Amino acid sequence: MKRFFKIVALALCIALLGVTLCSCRYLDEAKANTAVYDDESMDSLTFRGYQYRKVDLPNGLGFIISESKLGCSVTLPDVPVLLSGSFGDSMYYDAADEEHPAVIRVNGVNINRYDSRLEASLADDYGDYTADTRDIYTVIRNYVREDRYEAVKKIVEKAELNHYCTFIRVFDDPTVPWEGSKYVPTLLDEATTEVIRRAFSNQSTVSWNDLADTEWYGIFMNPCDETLTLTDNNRFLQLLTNGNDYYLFYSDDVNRLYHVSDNDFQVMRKLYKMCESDLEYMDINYYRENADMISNPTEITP
Amino acid sequence: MVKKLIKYNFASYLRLLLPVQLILLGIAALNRLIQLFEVSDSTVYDIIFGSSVFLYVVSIIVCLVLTTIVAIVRFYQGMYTNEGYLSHTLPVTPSQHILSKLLVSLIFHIGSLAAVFLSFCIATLGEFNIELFKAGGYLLGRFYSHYHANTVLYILEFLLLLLIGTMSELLMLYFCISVGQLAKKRKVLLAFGVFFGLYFIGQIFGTVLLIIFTTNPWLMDDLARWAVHHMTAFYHVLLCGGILWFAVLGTIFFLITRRIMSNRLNLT
Repeated sequence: MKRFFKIVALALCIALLGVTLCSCRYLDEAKANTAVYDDESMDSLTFRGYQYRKVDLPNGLGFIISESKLGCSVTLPDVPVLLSGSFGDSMYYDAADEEHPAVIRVNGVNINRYDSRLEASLADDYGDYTADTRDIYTVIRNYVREDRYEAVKKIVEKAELNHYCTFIRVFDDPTVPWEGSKYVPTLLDEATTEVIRRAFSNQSTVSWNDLADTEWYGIFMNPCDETLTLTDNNRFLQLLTNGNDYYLFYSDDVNRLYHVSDNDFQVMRKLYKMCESDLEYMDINYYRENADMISNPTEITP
Repeated sequence: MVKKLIKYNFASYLRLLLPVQLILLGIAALNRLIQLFEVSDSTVYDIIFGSSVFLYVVSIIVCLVLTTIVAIVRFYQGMYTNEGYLSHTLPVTPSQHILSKLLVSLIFHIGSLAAVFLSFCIATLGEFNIELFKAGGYLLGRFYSHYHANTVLYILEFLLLLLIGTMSELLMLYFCISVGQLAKKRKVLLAFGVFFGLYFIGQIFGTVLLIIFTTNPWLMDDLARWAVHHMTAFYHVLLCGGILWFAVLGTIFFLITRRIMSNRLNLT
């Protein structure tokens, strides 16, 4: 009997030892969604085995990241993975580029005097501060995958936002639209871009206040580069009408509305219909094959 | 004699509580074994795992609640039923009776907490457990880097608060039972009544405090402002204040229980 219990105890120990080598899905997912800064300078980070280097973008410019997987963080090396959400910075990358994204945007919280956000928040509410010395503010850092770094850096240095893009809603499964969807950045073709350029080449403009009964079209267009990498974060384009005429304007200057001719509006109208046709549950390939208002972005060559 | 009394109490607690704690550890082990068959997007696995977690949580609650119930029952049976005839003839003072029961109850409460902690370690055995300890160590390290030597004081004060708080709660239960046994009939019912009466008084006291703070919002603001600027002292005040509060309450309950046991014993 004693021998039997000894054997059972030994078997249990071996089984438990085997268990110690097992991970779990929750932990695996947490590790997959956590990046690590290589050092305190935060000039580079490692994510899913790839190294990313920080790149400084000109003021107001940002990488095009329409929708990102939520819950991703980047932390310093000594932070345990289970605390990455509390002690890490939020990280965003394009949902379409999920496995090994080319670019990553990090929203860091810069805390001056305090060791934790809780203390900084309490001090914010109850402490003494002046408008010049706020202790909490957001720092945005952008990172590029090492193998794409030189190519993206060239684009950043040129920073030619002479194209336009819009965000089209596509569904993960067009036959099951309620399962999930995302907004995909899509480059507008040369004809549509020319319409916008023609409108903005007009010298005369009207002010919003001069128009009555304006109606908005649900199109949001952003200036971007030809590779669909950079965009202007400070403003976007919109189209509106007062029933008779059509106008384009930038969101940061509503007192300059640029007139769009009737012919040119027909191009815009097709774009509007395309943006609104998510009701028909189409996917991006349908647009690429059938819509003549969009084009494929230029590939980034390293 | 007191040593023998403690030994006897210990044995009676062990007989009742050890099987419960072993069952808790077994359920934790079962929970961990189920996780070995983890399959993503499987409804069957989710149901089985969810059920095992539910069972585990229930067993933790049962273990902790049962420890308190055993403490109450052992005190009542040992002091105020037929067993009391024997207990009170022993060459032991009422204070020694109360303190010996209190000590053993406290040890088993700590034991139950240790069993729950061990069961949690078993249920999360593996890399997840290691990551949990890493996270705990990291938080402690950050806390220490901010508060330095005060961290050790906070830990000691917190442990003392837990200890004295548990003792105070147990003494409150002994107090309720002792007051209950003053009745000629329905002693247990009166004990429950005293317990709810104390709870009710506590609620009134809490409501009065709430009214004071809500009608004087500047008071809360001032307190929060002081706390932000004196965070280190604030934690000490909170912890030491709690220790003092429970110590005073516990002493009052102990003295009244001892008085009842000495002068108003009613074993009929």
